[in-house]
Amino acid sequence: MTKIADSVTVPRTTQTVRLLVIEPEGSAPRLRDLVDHLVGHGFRIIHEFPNVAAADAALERETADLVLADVGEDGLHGLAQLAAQPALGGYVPFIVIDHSSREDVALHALHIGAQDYLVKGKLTPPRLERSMRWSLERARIERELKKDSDLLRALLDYVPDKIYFKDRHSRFLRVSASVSDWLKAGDPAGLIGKSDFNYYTPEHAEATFADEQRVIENGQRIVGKINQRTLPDGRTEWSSTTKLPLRDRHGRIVGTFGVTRDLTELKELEIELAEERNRLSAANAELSTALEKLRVVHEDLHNVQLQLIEAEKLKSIGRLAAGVAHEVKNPLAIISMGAEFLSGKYGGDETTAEVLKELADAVTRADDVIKGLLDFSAPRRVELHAHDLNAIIRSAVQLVRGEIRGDAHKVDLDLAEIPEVLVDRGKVSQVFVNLFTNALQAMPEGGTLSVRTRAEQITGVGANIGGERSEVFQVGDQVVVAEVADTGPGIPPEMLGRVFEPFFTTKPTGKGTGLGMSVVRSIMNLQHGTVVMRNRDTGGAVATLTFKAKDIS
Amino acid sequence: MKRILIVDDESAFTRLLRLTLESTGQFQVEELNDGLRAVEVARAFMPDIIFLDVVMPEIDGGDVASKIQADPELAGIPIVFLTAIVSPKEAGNETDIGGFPFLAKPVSVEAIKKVVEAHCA
Repeated sequence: MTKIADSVTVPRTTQTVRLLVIEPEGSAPRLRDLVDHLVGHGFRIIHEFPNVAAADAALERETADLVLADVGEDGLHGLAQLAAQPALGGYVPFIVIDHSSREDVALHALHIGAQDYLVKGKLTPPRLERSMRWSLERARIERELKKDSDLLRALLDYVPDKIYFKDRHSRFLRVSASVSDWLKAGDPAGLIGKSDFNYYTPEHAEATFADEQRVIENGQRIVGKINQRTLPDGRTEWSSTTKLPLRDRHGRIVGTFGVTRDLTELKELEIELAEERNRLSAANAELSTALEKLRVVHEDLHNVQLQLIEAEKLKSIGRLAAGVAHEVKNPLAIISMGAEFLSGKYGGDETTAEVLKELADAVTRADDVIKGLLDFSAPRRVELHAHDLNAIIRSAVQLVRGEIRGDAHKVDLDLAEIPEVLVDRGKVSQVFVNLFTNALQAMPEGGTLSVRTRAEQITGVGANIGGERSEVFQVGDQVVVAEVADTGPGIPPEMLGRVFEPFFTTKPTGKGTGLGMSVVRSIMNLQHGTVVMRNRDTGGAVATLTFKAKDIS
Repeated sequence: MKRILIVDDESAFTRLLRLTLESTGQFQVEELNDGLRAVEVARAFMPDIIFLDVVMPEIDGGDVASKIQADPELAGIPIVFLTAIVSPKEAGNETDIGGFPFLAKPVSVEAIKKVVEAHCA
């Protein structure tokens, strides 16, 4: 800070201001004399030239901070020479000094960029200093402004995004080079005053116009709006546009400005990516399906393997049974014949008769086991004929009469009207005899044996198709269901899964062969029926048999 | 009195069966434990009915039956198999083996009597 007047303090650089003076010979008063008064205030002349042409090289070097140019008698000619100097105005500020106050020279001086116009006769050192200070400051501000404008120009000239400023009528105020390139309109300046209507289809121009009018009317911004447009050559152009209200210094909306970025390439990549993703997810789905199929096949294979193991087991049991039958039945025949012989001879004695009766019973028991074994393991043939299942059930009840104690056992038959079933009568009869026998033996103290039948259609809903039924029947099949239930203690849950295993029994030794239920299952399987064993909620066990109904058609 | 020939390699069985049948006083029984001698013994005894075991060493019941039927003097004699390898249930509804009726062991005297009555009217 340097004090230049008692009352005024202006900011000043501490550096000396270097002056270049152009002054024709003989001009008075001399500028040097005036400046000399200001040396103490930080001004120094570093060059002096009699005319503009002589100053050429020095001006070009731009070593001076400020130029004082005396334009001489022919003021306009002097100004013309100054105007031809590229370094002046733009980079080095200059002050025009005239000999007398001339309106035309003053105006022209300002027009060509002079910071000030001074008349030599009235010039005093303080006035000159003030002018020079003002000029330097203005030049500094202009340089600052030019910096901003250079930045704006850089944006407008080089950014590939389309940048545009428009007035309230959507006419271009300024556009980036990318806009004019895109429109093939040459110089961006050539677009000023024009609008989208001059370059785009009416639909597109109207849509843009409407968008911009909305921005103008309510000041709302449009940010990153994605536009899709079909180009004349059929390609689809994608873009993202941001538009904002353009305001004057009072904040009034005077137009719009915006940036539009071409997204076509990005969008095409995105579409490609989406297609790729779809292909991937389709492939993935195919894989999952294949995997699921594999899993099912694997499960099937596993089941087949289990069945094969089971079949192999049964075959061995069959061979064993045949061998055992022969080797055991002959001695049994001897014992039974012996018992008969002895009872003929000593049957008169009561005790002996009892012993012989027990002997004969033991033989019968042993023979029953072997018969069961043979029944279970024998190769099976079935002869399927249409039968009334209810009739088979009634006759099977008759066959187990011996097991039914009239005072304790109640037999409850609830046989509905049902279609005929295709079965081997003898074998199905055995199924019911086995189930009835089991049920009755499960209720030694008495209870109710109930048998109910009903017609049903496999619907595929819930338990109807669950469990074993689903593997044998298909949705829509007409079936006949028979349920054999008892009121005994039921089957211990942990044993439910084993009831169909050969030799599995819960009865005391001598009471069961452990083959009855396996025979039931193998017979049911032979006639494409199923059997499921479970405990009733109300107590006791229930066997559910499902037979395929005879096809009426 | 009906004449019965029993051919079975189980001598204990044939003896008990003979003793039991004879004890009824209605039958005259000859027992044979060697199937190879069946035709020879049958010719000598000339039974009204022959009971044949199926599984025997050296010769099985089927072959013995063929030989007996092939003999002109024995051809008309009814043959009933006695067997330990099948039960009626196992054989299904069939009542014969190779065209011959059969009884499954162990067998009761009652069953034998019925068969004899049925075949030797």
